[in-house]
Amino acid sequence: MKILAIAAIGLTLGLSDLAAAEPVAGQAGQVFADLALDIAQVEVGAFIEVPFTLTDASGLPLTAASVTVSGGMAMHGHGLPTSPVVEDLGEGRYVIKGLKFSMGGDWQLRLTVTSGTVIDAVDFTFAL
Amino acid sequence: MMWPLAVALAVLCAGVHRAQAQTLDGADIMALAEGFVLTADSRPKPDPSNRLAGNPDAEALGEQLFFDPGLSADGATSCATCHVTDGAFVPNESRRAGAERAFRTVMPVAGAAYQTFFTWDGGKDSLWSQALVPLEHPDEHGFSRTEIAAYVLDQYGTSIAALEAGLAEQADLLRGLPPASPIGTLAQRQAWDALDPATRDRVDALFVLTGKAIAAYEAALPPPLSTWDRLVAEAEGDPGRMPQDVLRGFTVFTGTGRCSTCHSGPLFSDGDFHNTGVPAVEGQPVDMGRQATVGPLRRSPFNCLGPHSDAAKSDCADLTYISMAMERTLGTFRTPSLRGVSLRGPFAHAGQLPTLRAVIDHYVTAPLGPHGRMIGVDTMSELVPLTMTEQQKADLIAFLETL
Ligand code: HEC
Ligand code: HEC
Ligand SMILES: [Cu+2]
Repeated sequence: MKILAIAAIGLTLGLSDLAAAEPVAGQAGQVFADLALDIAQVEVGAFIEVPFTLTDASGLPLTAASVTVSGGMAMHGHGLPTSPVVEDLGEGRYVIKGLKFSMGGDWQLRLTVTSGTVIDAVDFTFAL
Repeated sequence: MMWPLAVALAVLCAGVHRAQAQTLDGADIMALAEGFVLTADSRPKPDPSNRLAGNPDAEALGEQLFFDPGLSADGATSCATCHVTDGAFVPNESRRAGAERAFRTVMPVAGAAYQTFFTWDGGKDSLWSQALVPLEHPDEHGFSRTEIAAYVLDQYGTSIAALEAGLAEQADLLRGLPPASPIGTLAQRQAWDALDPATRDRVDALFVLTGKAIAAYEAALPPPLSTWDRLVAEAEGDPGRMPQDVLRGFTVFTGTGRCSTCHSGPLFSDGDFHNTGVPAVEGQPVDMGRQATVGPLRRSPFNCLGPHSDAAKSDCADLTYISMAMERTLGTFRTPSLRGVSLRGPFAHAGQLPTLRAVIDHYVTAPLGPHGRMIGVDTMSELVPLTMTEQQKADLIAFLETL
């Protein structure tokens, strides 16, 4: 079941630290997301909270955006084990709550961002 | 990540449709195998919703309750009737599914505590709330809630008083209540509604305590260490010391067969829910799996967030963030642990697959399954057809038989 038609435009970061990486551009180039996710610290099956910041094309914080999280393992044909939510911390800062990964392997995560006329999707790919 | 997982990744993702035995050298395959063994000191994670978990007195009471046929309408049904075979914790199918009880294959209880959601469709989020179901189910223990409360007070009043002072007082108030339950027959529901709220609370408290004591006992039942655990330990990293068919079967399991994409870790289960296109039972409606239970679970008074739970709200993330999405629930069932798999059968949630060979053939053909496709494109089933030689199937069975 290929529910994850995630385009392969995300970064492949291997066993690295997403926090140290450059902000990732959305498919439409309207939104940039900087995820503070240290892959090396992620434990399979444990809940994690992932803070992130959003900026717009001109580099300014994207505030009061509505963000949804989706993802899964395209190679295994399944989605995320849970339904994570995003909380707005203000000033373009947000946090993903309720996220966990059920196994090691290649995962994809997508942030779908809507704010005023801005609609974009930012994809991340990483290996656990 | 731990490095066995990194190896698993390399194996699973490098070239999934090719036998991996040749590409993995001996040390790598044994490192991978380490990720699938239990040791004598492996323990499931604690259940914060059950304050009796880990309490030896509760475990002792739970053991008595688990084996007590008096805890049933016919005086002849205990948990052990379906969960113990010849003195071992092997599912017992002598009460036939569909004829004498509902259409589901009996699941093992030893090692169940490693899971987060229970039963094939994940309809319960703790062992104690699961234990309450068979007690009131007309095809199983067939007792009503008031009868359970009165019975446990009569038989186990002293143990109950020791666990929770106050619960055992004024036992005679509960004797002589009519059979009553909020989920029973019409007469039982009417009798339940007629009880005063204080009595109902008291009955519920005893009912829940019964479940929590049984769950404490179940959580202390480890899955027995298997031939597989022993073989890997004795090989001490040297693949030459493993039976070669078992080792080849393991490489099929983690490589060509894609089995470990779901049957992962020491329990051979990712604890998650998948649609694997298992055929419907003839003459039965299509089983919706988790989709039918995820709503009721969220509303259940016996869930992690409910009034009978001992957990803080923050300990209930699995329930709080449960996925209701169609593709995560429709026709999905929990990946069963494969420990002890060759001791049980028939296989899958309603025994649709009679033998391990039939299970493997199912994965090789990867049928569309009863839930079809989503909006014309994606199959609900996550399986993809496999290519497997007769030799690989035989090796895979040899491996499964050691679990
Ligand atoms: C008449 C047979 C029968 C009786 C009696 C019975 N069970 Fe079960 N048990 C089953 C079946 C069938 C399943 C699978 C149910 C499903 O998926 O709907 C099951 C599932 C379970 C599970 C889930 C295991 C897992 O890995 O999720 C546990 C735990 C369990 N039973 C414990 C008990 C306890 C405790 C009792 C006594 C209070 C009990 N059972 C009485 C047949 C029975
Ligand atoms: C997409 C996830 C997935 C994959 C891949 C997978 N399984 Fe399963 N397996 C499951 C689920 C889910 C069930 C329960 C299905 C049901 O009852 O509807 C199951 C059931 C089984 C059972 C029956 C166990 C029992 O107690 O009845 C066996 C045996 C089994 N799988 C072995 C394998 C083998 C061998 C492979 C590789 C060839 C494999 N599985 C691949 C998820 C998976
Ligand atoms: Cu996966």
